[in-house]
Amino acid sequence: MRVAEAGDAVVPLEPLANGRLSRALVAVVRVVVAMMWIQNLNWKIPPDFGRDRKADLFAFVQDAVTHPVVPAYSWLVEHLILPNLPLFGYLTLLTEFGLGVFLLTGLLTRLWALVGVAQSVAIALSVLNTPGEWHWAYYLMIAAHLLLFATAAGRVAGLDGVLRPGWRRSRSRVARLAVIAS
Amino acid sequence: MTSSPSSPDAGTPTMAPEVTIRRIWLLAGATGAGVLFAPVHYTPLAWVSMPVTVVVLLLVVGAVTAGAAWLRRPRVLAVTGGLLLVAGLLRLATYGHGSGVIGGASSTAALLAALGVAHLGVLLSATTSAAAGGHDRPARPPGRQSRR
Repeated sequence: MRVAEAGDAVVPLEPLANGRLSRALVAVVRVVVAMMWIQNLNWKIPPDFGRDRKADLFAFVQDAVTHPVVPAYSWLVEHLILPNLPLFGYLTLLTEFGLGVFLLTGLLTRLWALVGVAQSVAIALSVLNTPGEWHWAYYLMIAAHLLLFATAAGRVAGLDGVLRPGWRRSRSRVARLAVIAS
Repeated sequence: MTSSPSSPDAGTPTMAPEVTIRRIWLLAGATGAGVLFAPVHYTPLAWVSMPVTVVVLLLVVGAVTAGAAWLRRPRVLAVTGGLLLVAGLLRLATYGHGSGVIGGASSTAALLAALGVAHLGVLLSATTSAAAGGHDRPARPPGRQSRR
């Protein structure tokens, strides 16, 4: 049965706000989120990532064990991540470095927004139950990255907007992937 | 000094359309403005650590980029972008090992690398748009007519 014949009006979806101010604000949010990652690179200090001083990244990872949020994640941290903290520390450093660089420049933004969601979830699972933490901070981090993904925020004042026309014209596989990731 | 899409050198980034030049001016401004992080410090974390070496680097690269815009030479962005990207990656790789080659923290590394990527991205856009006939302004997105 077609909807129109049933007498129900088909209402077209209202487009998202696309004016100059809205687009500028999307770019501002993207840059602010990028700066959050960039600033917080400062306390992920190799090579021991705070293990000797029981501070910095080590302390936050340890929170997942002392104040568990999800038992399975806590077990993973205790038996896999903490014993190999230099490896996971460098992974964290590189991931957040990439988040800062790619979100700030608006390059492959949708892909990196998803990386940001994953990283925010990992952080939340480590510290949500830590005394003094405001859990909504982590929910908001996840939400901000989802919005960057939904709005494809790099297309405004970002390299995605500048490079996508060329990627769309190209027939290479890399360009096609870049179109999807942006 | 601008080229027409049909000119023999339309495939090179040397002769740039206005939109590319505007982007290079913006890049020059953003690069120079990076030094504004220098006076922004609050405990316990500096927003982006900005030692004197990096301040000088950003000012010099910003000035060179402005020169590239003034002279309409996008190809210079390969040098400025490459320099910033290498400096950023060097800082990242040497972070935690003494002062490293470039001063600052890994936030400095990220800022330098991001600026380098931006320079190279604009250069790439100038190259690809020239190859496509010089139309490097992105297509107006669907629904652009709607202002709200």
